[in-house]
Amino acid sequence: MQATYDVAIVGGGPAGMAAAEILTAAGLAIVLIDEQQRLGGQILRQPPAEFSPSDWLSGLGYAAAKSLLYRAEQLSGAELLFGTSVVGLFRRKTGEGFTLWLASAPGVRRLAARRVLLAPGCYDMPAPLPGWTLPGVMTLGGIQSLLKAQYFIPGDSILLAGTHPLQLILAQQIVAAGGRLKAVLFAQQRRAVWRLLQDPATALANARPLLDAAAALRALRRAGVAVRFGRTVAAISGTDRVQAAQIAQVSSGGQLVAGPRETIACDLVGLGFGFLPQSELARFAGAQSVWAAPCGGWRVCHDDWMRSSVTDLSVAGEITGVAGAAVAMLEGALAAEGILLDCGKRTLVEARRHCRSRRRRLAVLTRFARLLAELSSAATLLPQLATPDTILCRCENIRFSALDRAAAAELAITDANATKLVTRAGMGLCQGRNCENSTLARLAQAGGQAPAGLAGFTPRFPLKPVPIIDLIDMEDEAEVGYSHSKSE
Amino acid sequence: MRKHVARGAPISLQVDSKTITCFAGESLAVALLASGIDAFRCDREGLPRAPYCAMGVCFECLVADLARPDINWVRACLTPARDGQRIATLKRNDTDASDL
Amino acid sequence: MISVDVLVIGGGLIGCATAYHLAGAGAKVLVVDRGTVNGKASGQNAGSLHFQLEHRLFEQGEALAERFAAAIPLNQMAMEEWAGLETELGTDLEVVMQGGLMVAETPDEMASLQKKQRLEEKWGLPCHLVDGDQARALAPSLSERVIGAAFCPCEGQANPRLVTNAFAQAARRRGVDFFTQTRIESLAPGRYGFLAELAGAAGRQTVLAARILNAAGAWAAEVSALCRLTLPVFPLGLTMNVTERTGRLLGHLIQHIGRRLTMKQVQDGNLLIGGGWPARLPWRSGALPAFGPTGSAELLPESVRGNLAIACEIVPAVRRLHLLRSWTGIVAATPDELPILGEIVSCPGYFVAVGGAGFTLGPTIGRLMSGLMLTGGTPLSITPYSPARYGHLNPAMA
Repeated sequence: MQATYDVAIVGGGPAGMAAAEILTAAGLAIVLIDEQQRLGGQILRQPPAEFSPSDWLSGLGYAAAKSLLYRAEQLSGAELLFGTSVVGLFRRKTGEGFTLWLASAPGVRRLAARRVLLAPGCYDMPAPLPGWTLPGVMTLGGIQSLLKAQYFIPGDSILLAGTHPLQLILAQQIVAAGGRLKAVLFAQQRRAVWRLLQDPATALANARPLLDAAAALRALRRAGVAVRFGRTVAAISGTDRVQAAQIAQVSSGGQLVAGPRETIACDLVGLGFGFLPQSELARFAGAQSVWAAPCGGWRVCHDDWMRSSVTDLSVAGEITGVAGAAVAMLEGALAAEGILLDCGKRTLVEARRHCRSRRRRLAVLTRFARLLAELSSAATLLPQLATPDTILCRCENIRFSALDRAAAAELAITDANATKLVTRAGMGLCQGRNCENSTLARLAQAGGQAPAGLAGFTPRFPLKPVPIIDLIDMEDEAEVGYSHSKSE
Repeated sequence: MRKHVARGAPISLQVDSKTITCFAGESLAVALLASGIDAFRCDREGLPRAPYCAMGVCFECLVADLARPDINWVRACLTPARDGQRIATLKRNDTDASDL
Repeated sequence: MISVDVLVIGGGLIGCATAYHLAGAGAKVLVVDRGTVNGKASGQNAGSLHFQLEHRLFEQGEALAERFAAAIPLNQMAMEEWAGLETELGTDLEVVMQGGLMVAETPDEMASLQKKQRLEEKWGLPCHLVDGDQARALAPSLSERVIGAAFCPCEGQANPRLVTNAFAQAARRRGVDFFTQTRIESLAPGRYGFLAELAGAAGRQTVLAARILNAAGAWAAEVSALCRLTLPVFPLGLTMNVTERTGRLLGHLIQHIGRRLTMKQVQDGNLLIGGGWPARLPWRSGALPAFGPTGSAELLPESVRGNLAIACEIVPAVRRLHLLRSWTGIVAATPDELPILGEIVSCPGYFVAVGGAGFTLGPTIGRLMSGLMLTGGTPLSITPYSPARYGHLNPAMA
């Protein structure tokens, strides 16, 4: 078994970096693991080391996070593992702490850590609607990553549609990069979006990216880009890739309006309906989680020091509830202080002192995050966009009609796992990440209850698909406490 | 389209029977998209699929790296392109993907 | 109070299949499960239809193997049962019975296959030996390491996600009631039958049942304790693995005579790889292991690795694939690996159906138990499986 680390941090975004900074300063042996090639997570998706950008994420809204990123890249005492996925997390049977199973290009290996901090972030809310599997349909976050980190826009005639104000930021970035944007569509009414941008909570939160959104709106107007409200993409069409989108109106009550649809020619559609916490690993490890109303997904529960319900397992960032980079940084710091408290490297008095102003700031930001979630929630709209023939499970090509049949069967199905067994939705390579939310929403609707009352897909090992050859070729380190099965 | 920035050295790769050029440090996903390849693979019904999330969650951007014949696909959005790489898209019916 | 002819405890394959047959004969049946129908081993297993004597039955030596061969008539009945099941239940269960190959890699293993084949021949199980080349002619993806195999033409697979549900729905149509998410708080024989107190989502219920069927699988001992009966049924945690979908590699069920391996490819193209690799059981603290675990068995990654390593040696094409998911299940194990089927003599009206190869034999056991409970007879003698062989554990009603 390789050396045991004091703390393994899963995720090199704002939360992970903030924790790493504090923990290394206190002299702990840290390993930080991320699937990307560099630190930053999704919000600070960095260009490759081979690029020399002069203007990367130059908006003011990113200043604090960028500053943390530069400091994090200088850290000593932290081993950084990039291009690596955590596919298993098991409590050790002898001694204390955890064994993490890691998969990367060279193969699969294990490492041991006394404590674990999970900060793997969030991912875009899947938006199943007719035509969403066509090449040229991407998530808002996906298009933004490609632009931010690879300086690449995967389309010449772009339509953005959704509910999240991040659309305005990306739109402005696209225009500034010379991309051609046809329109930005918000399902909400104009006044709802303005309310968010003008709300005192937003100003108090000093949520610069959102204040930037107000500026972005004006800039887009000046650039002649249509920003339209009460509109959504209802269907996407094309033969081998996106060629057009059909637009429908949305009432002020959030209902899709029947009637003739407008067609907009485009070759890239970005869907921005919010984000889901990436909490599978935490839930696999047994951490208690709850439904993250109103948007959806499972957010992991924690105490004041970011400890989950599993001993020695802390959580920080978007998996505790999608709330943005500033909250993530603060939670990462709190988690680190909590870990230092548990290690005896901080007294309670010291830890409280370090966290006092952080907690105040967190309270302000959390109010804003809730408002944002409420006003950008697609929970009412998304279920209306899926038709029976729409693909629910992208990996296995299972349509919503299959789920509807299963839900209506005599022995009614009341949880996502049972549904998965019958329809196969969730049995593909993405392991249910892109259909769990829609499945739960649809089952909830059929059963007349809230999604929160249903059980989601049970996360299983491996947390991401792993090449079998890499599992077999692992170094055969004897793990004390595991009994080796009989083999000839 | 590529936005202007000082990029790494130009490199070339083989994708199916085509030679494409891109830049050191770009992901395979960008290399393919930028060279006009719209579809990376086909789904169970033979319909084309391409990157959706660009962050490793959707498993749509699967291509085969022929230097690793013992693994049938990699996620293009998480894999940096390397000079001289030989890549195959998985455009036949998905269930034959392992028969490359 | 609800009055029924039979209270079936356990909504797995055996419980649902028995309920279906009982109702077909006119009995009023209630099935109770503390979870969901098909929620445990019935829905978690590999879906193998295996009629050959299994590797695990040989692990304990030849003398015991003779006893296991006594189960072969049951297997033969199961073959016919599966062949007609989709028609019987009127729905697709993804039944494939194109044959199974039990492979050998060494001369010793070939010798074991020969011994096995002699036993099976004695009992009339259709199965014949082939050499390595013949095995590869049948199943081209088998590796060169295979030097021979036993081919049983009727073996194969079905989809465990569909089978129990199909029985349950057919049982429902015949008037069977199902109480899921319902616990049995107490169960006692009395003058008028068995009195059960149930507690579940719908509140509390009292049920009077003329007969009880304990089909609670790994929890059968826990259930039998309600009546102060001792059943030697123990939980065993097992591991299953599934790969991503791939092109057609296997049309047969693959088993191994000397190593822990079963493999098959499902209709959608995924490979299911198992073979009896252990998973760790969570014991309730303070409880004796015999009284059943709660929760699920914990995955041992070393079981996954060990299982996959053998799979790759036997079917090398597996090496290129990704492991998609591993999971665990808890099955019922009896001391002699044979099912316990029949009435408990010291508690008339209390029937048990548990253990053995639950999936392969499930539909057959359902049919047999129904006949036994209603008429006292069975077309095939199941005396070898009677609880009477453990009668010494329940000398008299307390």
